[in-house]
Amino acid sequence: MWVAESAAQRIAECDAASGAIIRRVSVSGPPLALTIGRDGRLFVAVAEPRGRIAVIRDGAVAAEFPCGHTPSALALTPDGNRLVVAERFDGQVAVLDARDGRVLSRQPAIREPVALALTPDGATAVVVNLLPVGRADGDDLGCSVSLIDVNAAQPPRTIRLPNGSTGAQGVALSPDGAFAYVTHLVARYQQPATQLERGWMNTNAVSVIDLSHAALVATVLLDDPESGAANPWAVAVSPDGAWLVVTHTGSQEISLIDRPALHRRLAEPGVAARAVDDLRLIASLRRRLPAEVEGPRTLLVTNGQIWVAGYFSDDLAVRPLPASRAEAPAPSRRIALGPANPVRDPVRLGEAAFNDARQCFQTWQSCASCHPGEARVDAVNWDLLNDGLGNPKNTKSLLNATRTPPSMWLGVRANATVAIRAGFTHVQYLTVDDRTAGVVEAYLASLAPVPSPRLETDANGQRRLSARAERGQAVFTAADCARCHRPPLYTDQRQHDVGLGTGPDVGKSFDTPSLIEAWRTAPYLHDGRAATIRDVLTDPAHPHGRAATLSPDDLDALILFVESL
Amino acid sequence: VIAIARQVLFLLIMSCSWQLVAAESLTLSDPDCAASFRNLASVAPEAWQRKPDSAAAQRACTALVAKLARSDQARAELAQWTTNAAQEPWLDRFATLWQQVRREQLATCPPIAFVTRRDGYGMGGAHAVMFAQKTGVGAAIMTWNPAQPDQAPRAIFTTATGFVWDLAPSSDGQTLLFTYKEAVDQPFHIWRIRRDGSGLKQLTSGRYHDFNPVFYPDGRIVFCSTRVEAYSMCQDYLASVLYTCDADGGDLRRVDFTTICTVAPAILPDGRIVCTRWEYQDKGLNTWEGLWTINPDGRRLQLYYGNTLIFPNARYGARPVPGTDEVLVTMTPHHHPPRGDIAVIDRKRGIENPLAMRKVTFETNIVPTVGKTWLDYMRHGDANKPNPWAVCDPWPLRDGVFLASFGRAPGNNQPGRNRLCLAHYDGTRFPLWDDGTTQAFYPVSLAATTPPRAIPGKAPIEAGDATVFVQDVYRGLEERGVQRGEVASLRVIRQQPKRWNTEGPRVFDHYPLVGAGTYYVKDNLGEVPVRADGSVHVTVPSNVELFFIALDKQGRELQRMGSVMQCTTGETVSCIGCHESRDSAPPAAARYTNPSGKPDRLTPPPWGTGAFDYVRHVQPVLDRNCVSCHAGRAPAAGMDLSGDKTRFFNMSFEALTERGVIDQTHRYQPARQKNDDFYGDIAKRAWVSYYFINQGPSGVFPAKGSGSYVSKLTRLIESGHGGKVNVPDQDRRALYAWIDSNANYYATWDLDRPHTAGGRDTWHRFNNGRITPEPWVDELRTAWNSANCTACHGAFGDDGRGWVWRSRNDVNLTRPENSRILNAHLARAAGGMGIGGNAAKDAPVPVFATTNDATYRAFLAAIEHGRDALRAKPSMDMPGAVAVPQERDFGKTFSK
Repeated sequence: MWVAESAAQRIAECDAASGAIIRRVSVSGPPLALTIGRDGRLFVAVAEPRGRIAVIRDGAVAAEFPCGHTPSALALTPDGNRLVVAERFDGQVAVLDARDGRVLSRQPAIREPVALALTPDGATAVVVNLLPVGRADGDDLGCSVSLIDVNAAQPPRTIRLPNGSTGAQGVALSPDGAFAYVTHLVARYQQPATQLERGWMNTNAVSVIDLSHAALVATVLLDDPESGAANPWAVAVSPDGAWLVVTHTGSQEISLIDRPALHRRLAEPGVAARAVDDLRLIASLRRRLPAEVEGPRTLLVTNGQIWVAGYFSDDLAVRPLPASRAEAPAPSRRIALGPANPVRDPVRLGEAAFNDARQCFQTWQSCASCHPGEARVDAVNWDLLNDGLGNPKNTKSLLNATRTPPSMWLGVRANATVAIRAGFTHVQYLTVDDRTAGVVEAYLASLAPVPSPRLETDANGQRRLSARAERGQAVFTAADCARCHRPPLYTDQRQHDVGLGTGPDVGKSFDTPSLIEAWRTAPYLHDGRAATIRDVLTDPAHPHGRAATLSPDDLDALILFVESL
Repeated sequence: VIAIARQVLFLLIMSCSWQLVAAESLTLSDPDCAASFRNLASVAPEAWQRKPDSAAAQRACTALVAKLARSDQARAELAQWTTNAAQEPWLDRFATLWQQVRREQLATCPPIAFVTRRDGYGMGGAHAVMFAQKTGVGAAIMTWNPAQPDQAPRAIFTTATGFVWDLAPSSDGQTLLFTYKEAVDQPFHIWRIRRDGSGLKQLTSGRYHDFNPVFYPDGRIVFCSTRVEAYSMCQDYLASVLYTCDADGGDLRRVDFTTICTVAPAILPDGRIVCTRWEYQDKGLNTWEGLWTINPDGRRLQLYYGNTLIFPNARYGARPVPGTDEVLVTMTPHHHPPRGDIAVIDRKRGIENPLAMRKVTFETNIVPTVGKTWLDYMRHGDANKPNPWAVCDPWPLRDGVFLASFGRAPGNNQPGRNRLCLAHYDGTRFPLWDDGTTQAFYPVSLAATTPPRAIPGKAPIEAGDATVFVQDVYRGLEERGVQRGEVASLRVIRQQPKRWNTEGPRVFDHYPLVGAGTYYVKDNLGEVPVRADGSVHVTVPSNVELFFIALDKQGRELQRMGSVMQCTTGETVSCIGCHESRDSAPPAAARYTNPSGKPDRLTPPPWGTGAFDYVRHVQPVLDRNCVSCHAGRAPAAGMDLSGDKTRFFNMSFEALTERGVIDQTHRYQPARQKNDDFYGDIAKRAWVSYYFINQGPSGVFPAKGSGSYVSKLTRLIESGHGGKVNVPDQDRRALYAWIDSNANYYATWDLDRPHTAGGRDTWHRFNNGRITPEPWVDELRTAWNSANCTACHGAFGDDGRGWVWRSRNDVNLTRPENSRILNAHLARAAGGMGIGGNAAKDAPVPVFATTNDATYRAFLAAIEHGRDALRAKPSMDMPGAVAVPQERDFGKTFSK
């Protein structure tokens, strides 16, 4: 058993039977995914802006294949010849020659591909995109699954998940390759966030995709009416196809779903169409078990056993697959990967609390439900109660939230310290102690911007503005954008009425958002009305749109500059 | 001194008798052993003895050992026995195995506390209002460790003169709350004691009953109390609701705003309070005790399970089962103490699904049942009887295992006998401790447990405003047959808590009498338009009991909410729709947008605010549109729609709610009064569709199937009555609103004739503890008898109890000459109705040829005296009425 220890930047090889650690291999950055070839070579995705695949043979890194920005998932074709790599922040999927790392093809995904699985014939990569694309002030949006032809003979196909889908994290295929299962959230963003019961805000789901028709069969909710199964992450199918297993990293559980029974239910008239809102469908089909690790994320189902990795507890929990749904679950066996010392690092504790739905009434959601991807955005609007009803606001990234008071689009919270507590009380509907709120603040303060994929890499491997982006910077300065978007965080931390308010917000002033990481926080403006920076800069309804009068080249350069921050 | 001596003596008696029954004496004559055999073998031991079936017995033995034996001893013993002979002493063998397993099972049981009582259950009456009723005397709180069965229980609290009802441990098992009264005529209060008997403290006080305390995980206490100062609707008892207080009894805050009774709270793992809540919103009275959840700040009142079940009448006292998302409840009758069978509720199987409730004890014939139609109601069948052998006070230990008190209620000259058992869901059970005489109740575990989550926030004390947001009223209504666009507005109605106790005979089961259908004085708070997208966003008053009616463009009822809700001050209550599936997440729909960001305001009804008032709001409509034909000596079609006073109401109210144009048959069939469907039949035939609570529906009101939408009167108005009348829109709306208020009449709880029928009987007076007829009624009776009216109509038959339906509108106390008793048989030529005799009965009918007829004159004279008496003492629907207060004592103990 090989385990990627991403925070420690190393791979642990352990004896699957005894749990004993055999050896550890350090890699040059955080390993986020790994796969093993039949020849014993281990391929490890090192998730850094200058991405690479470390090739480990005989306990040592034998080679590094360069790849795109933040490789987050990878798979090896059954013949062992090709590596398929999801390059998250490039929004691409690369196919590499597994022998030498040569890039055979690169094809576009939709937005932040974070997981992938290959069909048994190795021909198609089923790629999960974390976030929706598009403006958020309409009545329909959702993230997508991309079907990528590994041979690059056909253009990618896209399967849109249902309205409200966001935060997709995992994918698994049935053994025959007929179906794909994708974990994600279904945000009920259409109504005010007045409660949590019955999935009022975020529901947690697995979507069933018929690969032969490239069609969504159904989106199945994993919550019970009064208990959310928050933040489904990994999904796996047992080799015999009997079980679909899902980790819930928020509610700290695993779901064991009777896969044949699920498909039988979905084949009944009307069931599949209703499933996306049906909180009772899953009840008779699955067992919900405590994960017995902290932060269950990745998952392996093999040899009659379920292996769950504890992202925060640094351990594995192993339990036998039950013979049937009726069989009482056996307790799990814990395999410690590190010392038993409790974590004391406030940043790490804060990250755990941020991702922990036990800090939420009925475990419906964690902070990470609306702020997935390291406390960034879900690309959805929410109508929170702090500023009236009927005026939804686009989720803000929490990067630099501790450095840019006040908080919230209307600045209704004085600073992050206040906003964090208000978030627990008014969004999670529980209060947390000062210690928990404090470590969450420490975690948010620790967040560092990810270098933009629009930056160039120079000969020394340093990232820097391209020449064109430098021209955009000059335009930015000349147009006095910096008056409000003042460097270094590109915000003056003040509120301005630039005519953006609508409905109850007419005449209100909005807090200037930071432009750091603007390349990954779409859509834009307080109500998410702008799908792209270009849309912001060309909308005649507000002063940003004056940029439309720039020359096309200047406008392109300005956009590139903003997206390079 | 005497009291102390009695207490000491009582303690001595109880202490001396603490001994565990010798294992050898436990045989199949032991009820718990016998029940275990019966439940495992599916045959009662007595029946088995008559017809031995070795396979069944062996099945029971094998199941017992396989499921529950923890050591090899029982297994080895079972293995030795042969299996081929019917004459094998299987019953004895089962008893032996059962004893062995019992020892092993007791070793798994945590330390417990429980209540012993001298007088068995010690309380009578309907369980929801049981706290205010007479109790037995003498009780103690005991602690005991079943793992050390040879050690006697320890009395940590005893009372010789008072009564202990229930116990609730803290999650660390170190402290107990209990409901206790120091003497039987004193109110219950909340007390606290340490597990070791130290630290006894009374936490609440005052002339109120405080009861059913449980610890909230943040240190507060949740309990029930009569501090609301209101009464239950039907019988002469007090209303109760949830309160919170701090650990020492301070900072009392009302949590729920039910107008009847909330009882038996417990805390779910997620911090919600689950409780049994009784409500009476225009539906059958016997079925409405379901499980609800509410937050300790009064927010998010939600149905937990079972608001349309007919049986069991009540889902009483839910307790969460550790390690599961299920609860245990007692399935109980409505009119008797909470003893019945224990069931597990798996809410995931559907909140109105009777199959979500499965029995785990098998002592009664209660079967979870819903009506076949929405109109089905509970007849007083087996399920509303006291259960001679029954279970109460369940305390879940873990999935499949619980403690409870099993036993026999007193009756048939036998004393009651209850003892504690450790019970399994398959019906196997083992007595915990028994001295052969003492009765034990309310076992609770003292093991430390994981405390539930605490939901933050305190209930606001000041009444004010709250906001209701409905995403789309058509979610739910559309599935029920309402077309998108049909709902024009929502009406918001407040139900007023009952101000006076039931201290006289009931009319329509009411005291004070309110109307023909609803029990409640109701306020029509007004209407709010439904927006084009189906959304509603409206400010409503907080801290009161509310419900909604969806109205169409004509003001007719499209859907009545047959339940009630509340909003606490400042709360935003949000709903997906109306009657949509509670198992569904909010469906993707158009975004809610609100140009103003502010909620709408209710528009009060133009015909007048305040409580629905028939005389002020409805009679003027009839006066304007109907009485030109429908009044006088011979009103058209026999319908008198005037506002003239009858015994309890007025003529038009009687005519519209009881007597139809053609349908007069039931008046003269006294036998029908005994028919279960009597009231229901009237309601069905009447000109307006209303729901009489004793036979009220048990299901969800159908869309477009109730009230004004289906009333005959509505059809008549809409058809223009054959071109005779065109009722203006606002008048129609006023009539419809009255129908949909469920046929209210009085706008007040106040009484002018307390202790008479309904508190409003104009025919009787209350003197020196007796109800006697007014002199003019005696005069009328004398005339009736001398004219031998009895030959056809039966005896005058008025006992002052309010149950004599015929007398409701035959006598006109405003215009005596218009009385039907005069005009029905008065010749047409003389201005009467000229109704002849009843041919079927082949009896001569005295027809008054003229108004000079002696009987006619005698009737008229009597009724004129009645008119004068009423003028002298107007009733509450007349100007000048004088309200007479009754006793208001919310710490009263009612002796039944």
